[in-house]
Amino acid sequence: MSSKKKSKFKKFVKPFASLRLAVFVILAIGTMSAWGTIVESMYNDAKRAQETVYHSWYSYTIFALLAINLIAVIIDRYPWKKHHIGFISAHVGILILIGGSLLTRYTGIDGSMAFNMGESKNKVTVGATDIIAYSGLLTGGARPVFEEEVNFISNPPTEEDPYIVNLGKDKIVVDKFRPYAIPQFKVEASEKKTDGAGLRFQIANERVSESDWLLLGKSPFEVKNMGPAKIVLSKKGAFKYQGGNVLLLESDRENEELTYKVFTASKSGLTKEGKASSGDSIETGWMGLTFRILKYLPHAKDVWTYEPIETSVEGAIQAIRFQFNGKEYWTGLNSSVRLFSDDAFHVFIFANRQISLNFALRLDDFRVGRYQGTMRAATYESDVTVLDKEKQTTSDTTISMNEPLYYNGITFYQSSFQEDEMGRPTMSILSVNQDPGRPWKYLGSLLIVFGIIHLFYFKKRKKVS
Amino acid sequence: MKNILLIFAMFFSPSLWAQGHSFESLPVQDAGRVKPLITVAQESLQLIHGKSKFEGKPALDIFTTWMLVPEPWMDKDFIKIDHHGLKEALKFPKDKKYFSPNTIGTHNRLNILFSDLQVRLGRKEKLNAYYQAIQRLQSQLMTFHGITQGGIKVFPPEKGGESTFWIPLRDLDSEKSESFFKILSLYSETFVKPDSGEGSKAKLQEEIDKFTAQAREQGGDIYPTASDMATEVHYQKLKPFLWTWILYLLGSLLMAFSFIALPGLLAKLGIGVMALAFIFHTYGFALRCIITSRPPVSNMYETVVWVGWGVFLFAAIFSFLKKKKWIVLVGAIVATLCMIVADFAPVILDSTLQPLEPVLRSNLWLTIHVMTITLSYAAFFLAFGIGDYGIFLHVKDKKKHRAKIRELAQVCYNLIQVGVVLLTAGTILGGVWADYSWGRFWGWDPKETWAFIALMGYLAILHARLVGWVKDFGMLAGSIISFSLVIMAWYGVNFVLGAGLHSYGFGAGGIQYVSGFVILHVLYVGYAYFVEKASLNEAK
Repeated sequence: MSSKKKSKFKKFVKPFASLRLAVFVILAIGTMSAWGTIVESMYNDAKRAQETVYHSWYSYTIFALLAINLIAVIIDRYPWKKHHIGFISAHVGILILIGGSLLTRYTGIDGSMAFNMGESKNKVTVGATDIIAYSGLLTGGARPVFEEEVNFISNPPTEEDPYIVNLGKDKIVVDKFRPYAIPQFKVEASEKKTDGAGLRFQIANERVSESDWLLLGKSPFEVKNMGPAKIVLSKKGAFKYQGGNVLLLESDRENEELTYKVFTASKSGLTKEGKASSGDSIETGWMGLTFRILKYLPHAKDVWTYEPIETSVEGAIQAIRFQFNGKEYWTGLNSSVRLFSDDAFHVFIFANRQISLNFALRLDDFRVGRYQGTMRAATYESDVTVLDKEKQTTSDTTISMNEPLYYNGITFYQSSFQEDEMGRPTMSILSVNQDPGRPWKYLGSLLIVFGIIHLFYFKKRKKVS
Repeated sequence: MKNILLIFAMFFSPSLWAQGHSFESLPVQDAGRVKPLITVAQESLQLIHGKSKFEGKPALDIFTTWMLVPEPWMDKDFIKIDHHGLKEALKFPKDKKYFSPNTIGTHNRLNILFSDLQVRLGRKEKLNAYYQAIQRLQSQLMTFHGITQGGIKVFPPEKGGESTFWIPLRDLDSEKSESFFKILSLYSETFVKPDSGEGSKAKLQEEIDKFTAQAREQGGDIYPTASDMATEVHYQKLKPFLWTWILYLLGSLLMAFSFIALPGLLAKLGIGVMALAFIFHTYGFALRCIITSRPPVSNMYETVVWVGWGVFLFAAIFSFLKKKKWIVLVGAIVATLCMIVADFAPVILDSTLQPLEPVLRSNLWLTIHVMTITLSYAAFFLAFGIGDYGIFLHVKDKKKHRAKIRELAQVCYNLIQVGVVLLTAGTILGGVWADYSWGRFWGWDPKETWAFIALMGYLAILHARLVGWVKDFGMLAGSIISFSLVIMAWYGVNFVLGAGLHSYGFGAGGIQYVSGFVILHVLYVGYAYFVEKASLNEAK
């Protein structure tokens, strides 16, 4: 490059190297970040702030401006002198850090895996959401016909601008999105005679009172364990008594009648029986417990509704409304809906994406260490076995807080757990991570810190203005 | 190191030479660790009454009477309720601060409030100030009734057994529980009838020895000895941070007067007193390290103490390097402010020694990350104090103090440089820690993000200085204004935004004071700016 050309190039670069632009960009990054924290606080939802602020087009624009500014200023200082070391190191470090972050964002995995005790899994759930559909003829099997990533938080479907899933002759029109909805379960009478019975009951004595639903659906009987006793709702004749305290309610599909039988373990069997209907009370004879039939539906189905709320709380999920074949449906994130048209059926799924690993993990045991004399968790750890079919190896290891498992370039961290009312852990949750940007981010960080220190404390000569 | 400090401790408190347990060192299991009785008493009174004393009587005496004769307390007004909304909901008079357990306990709306709170807790909703006040009231009542109904856990579980749960007083067999109540009533004699003589003291010690011998037999090494408890008892009795701010304040006053009269003598005296304050400060911090076996920087209270320490340290270093007394004076004033806030705002800044959340346990990176970031806050806080002083001189008489203002701006600049280095390194260390324990280098967590925003604020000043937008006045004003961002990162995220992964540091209250502090300073700088503008226009 000739010196004339070089100076022309530098002239072109000059305006982008401006310090004024730098001050503007720094303030813009600060303002954008502050807005992000406010969004997170308003909705009690970190993911929303990520999607709508930190990874929005305007923050990418600001960061792009920053990168241009940094590159320009580095070129502008050429030819570099020894006293530029700190300056260049700090600014190149920022560029590398940004590059590393992009690499993480677009090629890394950031997800989680939840295990029940003894369960093995090879699928990682990540934050991205997909719409998936399977279709088939009423007579044959189904095959996947549609799969697309959707980001309804940033681009919510509306009645004016719906999201359409084309399934050959049929189509599904998604026309409403609720970012935070509480799924609620309701039981309604069903017109289909093949649907089993539904029963809402209350069981109470002086000290306790509990009410719940039992719903048969397609299964022959359903059991509810209530500590020392069982409540069973069954198709007539489907449930066989095998000991214990059991209150059996049998529903006859033909004449829609309900009958009950009380079995008491201490009296070795049947102690009471009779007919029952809505509003009846049955004295069980167990610890003064009275059983009340609040509602009996000979044919019942469950219906899910999604109550919208303003901000995210525990248990809230995303929900969508869609139209199919002239009917309106609601579904929540990570559930599927079966749809039937005249000659075909479809399975419609709105779910977090699952990434398959080429090996599986099995949760063998999970332990919680508590602070003495309290139920406050102090530590928790999972014993897992890695099942690698390709290498035909298995190995067990323990993952605990701050001690992750590294396998095939993927890191598994102990993230949290779930427990039952008794405080027994039921589920261990690991966060799963693959980060190709990691070395770059560390390198960038080192350069930045070194650069700033050099800039402030080793450069003794006066600045040329 | 621990031994040296213990020797130092004994120098302060000769009673530690005693072999057996004293009344105040009796071990009690509470909130996940074993504490001496004096700590439990002080923390309980602080929680319930909001003060470390009740009607001038020390916490331990009050605590003893709660256990011995709870009945008269039921109608005494001593449970503190601050929140106006909560008082309104309970239809309590607004001008009243303290209420009796009976007035509160028999209130017909209480259970509705508590179950309302429970629903919100169950859904992990963010609690606003009103629900936080309900939560506080609930724990006040539970703590008080726990104490009066023999809920305090004074006896260890069987050694080698599975259980880590200590046995509460009410579940002890009659012999042991009588023994404990005898201890209580013998101790109460020492403050009811202070002149009852050595005899009753000897009887008290005898009864304590008898009880602790039984406890030791059952619990073995689980039951701490008197010397295990000594450091904490000493910490609770010495109240090092109370002395710290008194001495910083005294030192600052002496030094301030030295600019008026007797410059040599008063300045030397002032520095001596400040040095003593710093020793107390360091010593108190070290004691907390020993008691919790970790560097105490995991909640607001602890970071305020640590930042105060850093402020004075930086002030002393800069004062020494630049040979300027006023720097250490500003540092001592800011440190006084920190320590007074820490000492007087126990409702907001929880001073109890708490066990850590799992994610924070025993992690070198965490400690270094938090200490580095908060140390940068110390540098910025000192720059803020100096900025205040500089703006004052600026408004007073810009021409007369030109040289001094330049000097102040230069120190602010250097302090911001120190702060930027520490904050950058600290934020990156935070990334390293997050990567190490969560697998995420940077996740836009609000606490991290606000530290980053503060960094952007100071970087903007440093860059604007190169363009010439920021000169002496700008540097002083910038030191003040940018510190609002630090306040937001340090306090605001936990108390205003209240969201994010750093949920271990949450609390409520004080928003009106802190935002008042910030707004006053913005107005102060705004006023100075217009004075500056006007004078420039005049010059034209």
